Amino acid sequence: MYAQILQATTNVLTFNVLAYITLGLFIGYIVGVLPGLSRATAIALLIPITYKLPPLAGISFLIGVSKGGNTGSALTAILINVPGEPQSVVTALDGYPLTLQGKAQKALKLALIASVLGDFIATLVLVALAQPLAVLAVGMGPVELTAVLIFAITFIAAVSGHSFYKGLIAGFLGLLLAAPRLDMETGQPRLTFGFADLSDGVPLLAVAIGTLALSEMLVQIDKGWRGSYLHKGAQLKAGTPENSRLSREEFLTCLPTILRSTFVGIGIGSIPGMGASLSSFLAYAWTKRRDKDPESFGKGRLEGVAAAESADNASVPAGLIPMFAIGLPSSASAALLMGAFMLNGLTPGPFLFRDDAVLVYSIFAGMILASGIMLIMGMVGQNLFARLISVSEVILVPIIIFLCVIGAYLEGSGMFSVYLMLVFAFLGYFMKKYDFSFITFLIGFILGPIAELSLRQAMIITDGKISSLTNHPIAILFLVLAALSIWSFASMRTLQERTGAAPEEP
Amino acid sequence: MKTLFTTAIAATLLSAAFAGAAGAEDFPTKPITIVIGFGAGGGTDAVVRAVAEPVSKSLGQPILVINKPGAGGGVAAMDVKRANPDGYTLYAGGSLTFAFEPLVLKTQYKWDDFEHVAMISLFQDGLFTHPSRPYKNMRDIINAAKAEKRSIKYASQYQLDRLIFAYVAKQEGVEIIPVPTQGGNGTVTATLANQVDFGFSGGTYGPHVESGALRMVGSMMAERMERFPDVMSMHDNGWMIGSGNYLIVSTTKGTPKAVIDKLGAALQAGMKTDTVQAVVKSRYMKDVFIGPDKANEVVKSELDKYAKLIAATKDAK
Repeated sequence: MYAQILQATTNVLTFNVLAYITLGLFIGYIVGVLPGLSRATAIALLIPITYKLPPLAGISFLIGVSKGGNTGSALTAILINVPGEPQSVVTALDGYPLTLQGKAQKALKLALIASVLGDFIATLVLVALAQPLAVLAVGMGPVELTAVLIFAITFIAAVSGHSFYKGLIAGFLGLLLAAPRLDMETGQPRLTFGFADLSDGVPLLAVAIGTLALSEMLVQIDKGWRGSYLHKGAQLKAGTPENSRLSREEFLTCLPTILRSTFVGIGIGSIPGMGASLSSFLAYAWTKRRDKDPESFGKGRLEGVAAAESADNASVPAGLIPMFAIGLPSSASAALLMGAFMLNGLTPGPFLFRDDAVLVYSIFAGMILASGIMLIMGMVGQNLFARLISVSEVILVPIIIFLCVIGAYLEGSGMFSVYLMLVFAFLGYFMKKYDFSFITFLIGFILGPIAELSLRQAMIITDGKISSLTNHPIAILFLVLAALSIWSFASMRTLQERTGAAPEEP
Repeated sequence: MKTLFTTAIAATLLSAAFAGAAGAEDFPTKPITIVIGFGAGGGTDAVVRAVAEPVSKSLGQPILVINKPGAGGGVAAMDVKRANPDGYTLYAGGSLTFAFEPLVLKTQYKWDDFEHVAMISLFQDGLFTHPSRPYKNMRDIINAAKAEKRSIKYASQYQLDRLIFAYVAKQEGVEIIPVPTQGGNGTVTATLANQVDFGFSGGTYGPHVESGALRMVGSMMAERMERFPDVMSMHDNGWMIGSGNYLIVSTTKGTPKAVIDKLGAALQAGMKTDTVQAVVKSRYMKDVFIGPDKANEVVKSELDKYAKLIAATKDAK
């Protein structure tokens, strides 16, 4: 064992491997920063390059892309309110207000530290506990998944914005949008209006880019048009030294949040089929609800940025837990990585540890090292990209719109996705104008198909009888938690209404 | 602007015409695109991406592989149907896209809207259960359900397996309820969680069976599986049906025969390389090659087989 680990460390500490890890992180970082281009697309495009590389270099390279992408996406979310990846939408919630307050540098620093810590801890957990955690994750069948999802949905109120009801409306709109596809039981098209392109559902990236990135461009154009536009470069300069520095105290206040959110990211990330966007949303919602002053979230709380970023980044290594341990990918990018393993003649799963133990430990060592490299790269990158907001919108907006179009096109469905994205850009624009939460909208859209599938599976498996739940103790646990969550939320609201502090209904 | 647009179109048409005029013997003179009808990371994707490498080398042109999942490969198939008949746009995916989907979905294509270049491997459709359950074969599951007077639930992947088990249910007089899941990973996940009697997939089960996390109980094909020769097939159980899903490469109808033959030969040689063989093996697929001379025929006969199966289950109801 020790000999293997020693061997692994020597394998990783070669110029070649280090160079590929760094290159992977760099490409991932850039892809993450650029709105529109998605991490999964980048990995799919880069897999052929790894054919010619030795397995360790090739796989470390791809994992680097995956890690780098998650870290980079926070940058544009914080600086210009354009999330580079759908998961970072939660980061923008508090990150962008911080930028408007002249605290962009501070938010970026915190985001980077939270990212790297989340990633690092989750990687350690992957190395130490992959096997037992995977066994736990595999025990989560459709019935348990349904219970977890019901629990998650009770948190939706925490991100519903100023009006709970508007948040709810947006959430249901998202659910409705998730409905067109082939029905999972009959296999027949449902609400597709004859478009074969919709048979796998409305493409996620088109919706995400449209409502998140392109709609923000419309808002900016609109502001410039009306002359109410304020050059953000000026705000950046207005940032005083203490606004730019992340003090020790601030970091220590955020540390519990980071640890808690990392835990959420590991939990959600390691369950097959849950999707990474859920982890940052849940971590944020949990942090907000625990806080003494939940109303200050969304107006520039450091904890909000810390929660979203650490959970998001923790879910990347966590997503690899079931893949390494039992050969079951838990997300699209994990599935791609698994494909890359197999092209290199390696079958992820229990035999990987037996047959190629040195390689596995080498990959692990590479991942830990990647966290460190990411920290340095992030620090340099921030200083460079922070100038982004001093770039004139006349230049910035067209570039971002161009990237959005390319990104939607690249996702695979061709021009169909591009047209859809344009439609959703306008939808997102009006949602922003009329203060409908597009986060609840996205959560509804992303969770819709997962929830529908597991709910329908669970109904068949339990014969629709509540009594069958006795065979599923984990499901009962989460259902009880869901009930408690609703109860605590309801009592909080009643209290607010009684004291007249209810923030909604303008 | 308008003139620019017109010029662009003219240029495209011109180059297309030129490519056509260049003739089949020069093929290929520009990059080839392979549209995979299924998502990245699956068995289809792995084999196609692996074979694209040697094929590209032998044809001397780069190959762009893209994934366009949707409608059981139908979205990708439509792209290829609409492409120029010059062999530069290829479909890769399951043969069920042509031999089965048009029977159950209102597809905008038929099996003969394409030139089927080659079948390059065969999915080994297998049935598996959780090892904590006592079943050794499908017969055990049916007997257990009958004895306990309950229905059988299984993790299903698509219409074809539902059809097959509707037929089996009718034959055996038991209720078999499909639990819909997504893809091979979905059925494996549900079975690993031990919430169904059995599951079906086309190869994803492989490593899990080997590690002992799952146990094979049957082949869903008419014949037994190559890697699990002791496991009973559908015919062994007395059910005269069976699935068959080939990994197929097809192109647009009207593509010159010389181009198709050239592609077929390159694919055949590519499949023989060590890397590709290793991928086929790791995905638990069977190394089969059916060239351009036979491919169309096989698609047609598979289609007829499934049409009969649909008729048989309809009568049963």
